[in-house]
Amino acid sequence: MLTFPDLAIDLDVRGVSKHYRQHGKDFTAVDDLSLRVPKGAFCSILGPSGCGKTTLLRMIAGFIEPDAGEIFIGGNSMRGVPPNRRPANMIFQHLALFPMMSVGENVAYGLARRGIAKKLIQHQVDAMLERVGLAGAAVKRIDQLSGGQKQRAAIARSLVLEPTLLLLDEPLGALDLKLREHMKLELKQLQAQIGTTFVYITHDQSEALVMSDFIAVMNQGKFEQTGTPQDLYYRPQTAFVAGFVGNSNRLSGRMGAGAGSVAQVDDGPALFVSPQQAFPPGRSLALFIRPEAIVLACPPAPLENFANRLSGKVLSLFFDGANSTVLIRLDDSDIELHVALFQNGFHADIHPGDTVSLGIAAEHVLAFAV
Amino acid sequence: MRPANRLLLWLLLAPAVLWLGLLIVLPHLEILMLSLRQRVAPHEYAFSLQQYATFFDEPLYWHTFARTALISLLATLLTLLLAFPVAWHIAKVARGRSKALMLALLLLPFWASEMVRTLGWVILLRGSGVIPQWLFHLGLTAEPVELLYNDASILLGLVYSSLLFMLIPLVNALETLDDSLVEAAYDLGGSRVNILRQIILSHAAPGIAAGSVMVFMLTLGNYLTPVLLGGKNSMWFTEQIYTQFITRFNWEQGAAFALLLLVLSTLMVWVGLKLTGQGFGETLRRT
Repeated sequence: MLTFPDLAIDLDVRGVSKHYRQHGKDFTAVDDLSLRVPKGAFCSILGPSGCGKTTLLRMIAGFIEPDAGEIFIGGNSMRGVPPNRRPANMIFQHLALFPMMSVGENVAYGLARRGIAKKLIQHQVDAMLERVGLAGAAVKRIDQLSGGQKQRAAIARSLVLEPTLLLLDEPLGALDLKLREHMKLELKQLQAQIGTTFVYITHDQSEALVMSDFIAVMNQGKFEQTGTPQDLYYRPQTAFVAGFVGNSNRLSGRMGAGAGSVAQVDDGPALFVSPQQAFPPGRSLALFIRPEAIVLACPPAPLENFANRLSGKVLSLFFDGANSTVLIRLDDSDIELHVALFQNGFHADIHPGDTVSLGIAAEHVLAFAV
Repeated sequence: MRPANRLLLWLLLAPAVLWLGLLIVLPHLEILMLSLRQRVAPHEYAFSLQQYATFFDEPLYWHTFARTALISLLATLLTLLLAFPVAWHIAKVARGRSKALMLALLLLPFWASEMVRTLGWVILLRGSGVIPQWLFHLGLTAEPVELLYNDASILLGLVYSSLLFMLIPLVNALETLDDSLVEAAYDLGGSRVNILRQIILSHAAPGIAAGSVMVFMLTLGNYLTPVLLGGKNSMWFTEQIYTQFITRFNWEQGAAFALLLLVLSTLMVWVGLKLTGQGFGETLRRT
């Protein structure tokens, strides 16, 4: 759990739970969760579909009452406060812009509900549309906007109310890949400019890593780990996080008996590993090695500086520019490893069938109990 | 288009063209001609506007006419008010089997003919019928009261027989409403009343218009319900038409009344759509 000693806390979730009955069985969607989000932060809740992240977000928005625990927004308890009275606004998965209204009327909707004078509303709507790059679009119909513009209109509609908290329910999911990449950066910049606290839920680890100040990884109703993107990537604390955040080669093995941290990979070599806690010999383990943590030598060369020195054969090459990888089968085993191929010219002539040497530092082989 | 294709097109269109021509256009032309002539001697007719003059000269006729229009309007409004919550429940609250069951229950009464269903109301409401007897035995009335043969019983029958025609377009319209729109409005600070007005009603407006047009036209042209539940004094305009054609054998007068009713219903539907800002084409598509 991260602590933010000097900052005001905009969202404070304390021990919140939610149970459902499904097909006659009790099902815990959200299990005793706590989360603190400081003012101005971009916080992502990252998890696979069905992990309970949407339930958590809807509890923060007020559409669902928690069975236990309490939610504070801006220091005030939200118990019994309906969504239309909470200082939190939500960007829906499919944006939920009102098709019967113009863009300007959409953005003005919340202000008009507060009983603000028409002239003032007009002024605020225009200013907000300009801020999100939609100046002059107020008179347009919703179906005249492109995907990215709709996205911005939805954000403008919420931000014009100056909420303490902006909740985003996978709003990029419906966009095509290229626009999604673009909107990721745009959303991050917009958040930095405006300074509103964002709580963003997603199942896409790349979205979470790029945009967030910190991320809570959620699985089966619980947080597996909360931390900065770098924490999660370099120092995962559970096997789930190691497997879910970023790409990894996952091997299974057993803790060795001797001195030092050596694990015996099932039907494979023995590896020096960095155990995440003390394991007794024989404990079954999940081992994670990132493709970019493996150093490749082709033609084969002794890689003296690495604790683990292996050799293998290139099975196939997946060229994808900067994200290129090769699949390598280790000698004398069926173990296959993905290895990142840096496009710095050293490995430009690598081909399937080539024999290679691999070097992996012990601290790059993360071992978790399973 | 090749000649063979054109022939095929006409053959395929033939049933529709025959239907329109023989059953709708021709009879109406005949009625128009009937209404514009007057018998001057046996088997001798002349052009005349006398039938229309009679309608405006005789207060009974145009009173009945106005009364029919007003009660139809009221019945349409009541049907809408009653049907909307039911449609909301079917479209948005009920799920899976209970939804199918509710739709089936709506259709079930239509297995019996309209005559039988209306006679059912007669059995319930007449002086010696079920409800007056209960009221009497419970001591709520000093003697069994006649609940039949008044405006309320006509209205009741009309609303009852129209409900389904309002419900179907309403359910269709509400089913296409994205729930997240309602949630978004709620999240942005909308009150229940405002969300109903600005989001739900404005989304469902074409369905409401479609249902209302259908119910209004069916009610205006209904003959059976006003006669059975309103009795001799129901003063329904279709009854006047019937009387002219069948009892008085004055086809010319009856034809004039029929045309007036047609003009009235067309005019009122047009005004209604204009007032609510609904397009005619869009509304027809929803019915």
